[in-house]
Amino acid sequence: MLAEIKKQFYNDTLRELEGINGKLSAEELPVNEHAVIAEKIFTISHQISGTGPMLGFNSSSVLSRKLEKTFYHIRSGEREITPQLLWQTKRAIEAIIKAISEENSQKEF
Amino acid sequence: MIDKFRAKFVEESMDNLHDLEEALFLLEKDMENKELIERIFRAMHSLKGGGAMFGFNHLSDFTHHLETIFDWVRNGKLKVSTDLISLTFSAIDQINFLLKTGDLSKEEDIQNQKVFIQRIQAFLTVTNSPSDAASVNTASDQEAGESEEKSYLISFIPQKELLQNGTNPLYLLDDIHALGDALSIAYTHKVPSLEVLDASANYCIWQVLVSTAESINEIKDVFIFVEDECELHVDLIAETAIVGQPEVKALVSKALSSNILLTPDDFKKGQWAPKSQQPAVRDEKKKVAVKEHKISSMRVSSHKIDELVTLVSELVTIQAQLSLYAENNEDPTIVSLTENIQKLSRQLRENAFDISLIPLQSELMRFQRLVRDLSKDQNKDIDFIIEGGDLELDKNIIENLTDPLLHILRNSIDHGIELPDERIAAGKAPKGTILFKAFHSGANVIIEISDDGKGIDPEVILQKAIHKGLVEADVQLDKKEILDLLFVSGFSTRDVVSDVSGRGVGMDVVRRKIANIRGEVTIESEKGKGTLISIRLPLTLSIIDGLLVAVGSNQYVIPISAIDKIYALEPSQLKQSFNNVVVIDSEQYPYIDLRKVFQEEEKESAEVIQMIMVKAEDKITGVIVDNVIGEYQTVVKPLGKYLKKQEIISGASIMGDGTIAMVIDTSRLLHNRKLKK
Repeated sequence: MLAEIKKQFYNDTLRELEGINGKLSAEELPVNEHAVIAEKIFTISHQISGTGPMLGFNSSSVLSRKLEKTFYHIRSGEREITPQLLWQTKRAIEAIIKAISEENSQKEF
Repeated sequence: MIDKFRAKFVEESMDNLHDLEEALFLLEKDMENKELIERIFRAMHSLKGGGAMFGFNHLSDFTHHLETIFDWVRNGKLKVSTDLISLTFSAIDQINFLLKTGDLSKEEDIQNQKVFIQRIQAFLTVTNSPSDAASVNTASDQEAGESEEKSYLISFIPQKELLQNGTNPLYLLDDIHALGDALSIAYTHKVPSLEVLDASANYCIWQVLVSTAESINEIKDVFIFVEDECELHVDLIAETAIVGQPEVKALVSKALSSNILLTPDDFKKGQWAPKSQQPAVRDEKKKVAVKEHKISSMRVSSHKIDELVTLVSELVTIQAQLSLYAENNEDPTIVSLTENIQKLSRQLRENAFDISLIPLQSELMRFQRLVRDLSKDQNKDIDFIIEGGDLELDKNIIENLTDPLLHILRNSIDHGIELPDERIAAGKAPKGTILFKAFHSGANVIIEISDDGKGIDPEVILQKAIHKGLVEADVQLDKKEILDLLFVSGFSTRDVVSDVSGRGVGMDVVRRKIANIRGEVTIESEKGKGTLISIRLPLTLSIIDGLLVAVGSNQYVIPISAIDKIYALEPSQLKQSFNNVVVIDSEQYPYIDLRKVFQEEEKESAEVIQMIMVKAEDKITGVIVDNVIGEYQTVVKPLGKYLKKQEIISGASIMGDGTIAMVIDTSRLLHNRKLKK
């Protein structure tokens, strides 16, 4: 049962992260999409850092906590999105994808 | 071979023209903007050079004169004026013509071009009294631009755990180098001997000197996700670019040999030369670095994308057949494989459609031109505001949407916005506003065009419709129904046919064209206040998520985006209903029985009645079907000319078993019901 949930979590998270990464790969993300992508990044990072540790995704949870924190500030208007920040976010998401994939292949329930 | 290059040149030049028009619009609002002037000059220069190279001699000659004008402008010899901008807009039309036709052969065209060139030259002979302020030379501008570069010392002292948290510090250094000229110093003196070295720990410290025009926040953002795992200092050390100067190099060598970190104070002692006196080599390096950072898109011809979408559509159909086969055979291996293929084909479908979307922006320039040119012709002052121009739509939708939108805008300018005097008399600002707004709403895109003009008088519309025999003289219609008469074929309220609109072929064509791309158009208006035209469009045309239903012996697909809820009703509930209105959860809903619509025999009494609640134009109507089969990814195929008159069917889909299911156009279905009523 847990293995099923883990598999579902991994597939959903990976698809979501890859979708965001694809958006961030665009040469210049239009400003009117910033709020939408910020919300998506916050939601997925919140999900990974919250649910991930229960399912054995520890390393990726640590990484996503950084994103969660930053995008929490962005959502609440305390911080602005800059091209550099989006670039670093892309790097961070790539690191999470790598970590979550490694953790998924290593741990068996 | 050369033809291929010529075609490429034309394609790229068309993009250039688009860019040019955009820059002109911006310049009209900010006539002193040097960056825009430079952009326009560069565009002219490229057209001139490319034109000569690819055999567009008339184009090259023509743009040469324009280039001269903008050379004068950028050197402060000529001031930007509304006349100059209007002339340049007309010149863009001429360039467009020259790109499409190549060198001119007709005597008339050659004469027209000569007259045009004389108009351009007239600008150069008229003294436009360049102001002293404007005659600042470009060299000093350049210097001012360069002096914006500042130099920073970044000290990045990570904790030992840095590498365990998925961070590659070398990426961060790369990103700093992409910001400008940079010099990195790695301090490795804390790396222990091999016996005690922990391979997963970080022992290095880095300092980077960077000269960049980017802000300090942009630099700090590079370290955004490692700031809890490091000590970071970013200090401004000079107001000019100093990386690469001999004194700096000496300081770096000293730091490396002594293993003592540099401090901002070390740079206070230096006398830094302005960048213009430094060797230019580093500029090139910077450009390359920035370029490497940014290239991430490529140009692909549209027919390749169409082909990809067609192939994906075929794949979706085949995958449906495979799913059916797997279900019937109950082989767990095939079922599992089929599920995976289904997932993949769904992702592939989403990706392929994402690729085929293009921003609405690409067409907006034409609308801006239309508003500008028409308002000037009619002596009207109009502010055209665009919101949501970045929104993306299917290429085929955009292609079919342009004409209706142009028509609506023409109507707004011609019939809607009043002359400045009339507006003042009506207590409005002399300048009218047309707002073009595009946004997402669920699985749809909404485009709204509103103006603050004189609006539409429903009484005038009704009288006109009675006069034309479109409705009976004693008809009772509400405001919305009256305004809907505007979409009836041949209706035009304008007595005088102008160049712009009022030819009688109007909103009915708009509605038909929008319906062809599965869209809906509605109109709202307040007399004296303005008009709002709202267009609801699907995101894509060829594949939809549908609900497969059975009616009689046939299957039909209802787009999921139009469905609100599905109810299973007791037959007694319908028996109590009156005038095709059913009460569900204390709410009254009108309903349609698809058996009656498709002239199927009456069904023998069923235990449960499936009613699908469909929404259109903010109203919910029940649709009775025999059976709900399930969700279905539908590849919509056009019906062809023989079935063109089938209004409530928008297409057909081939099912997994080879049979055909018709796709129901719910808005037409509900609209037809209203008409019958």
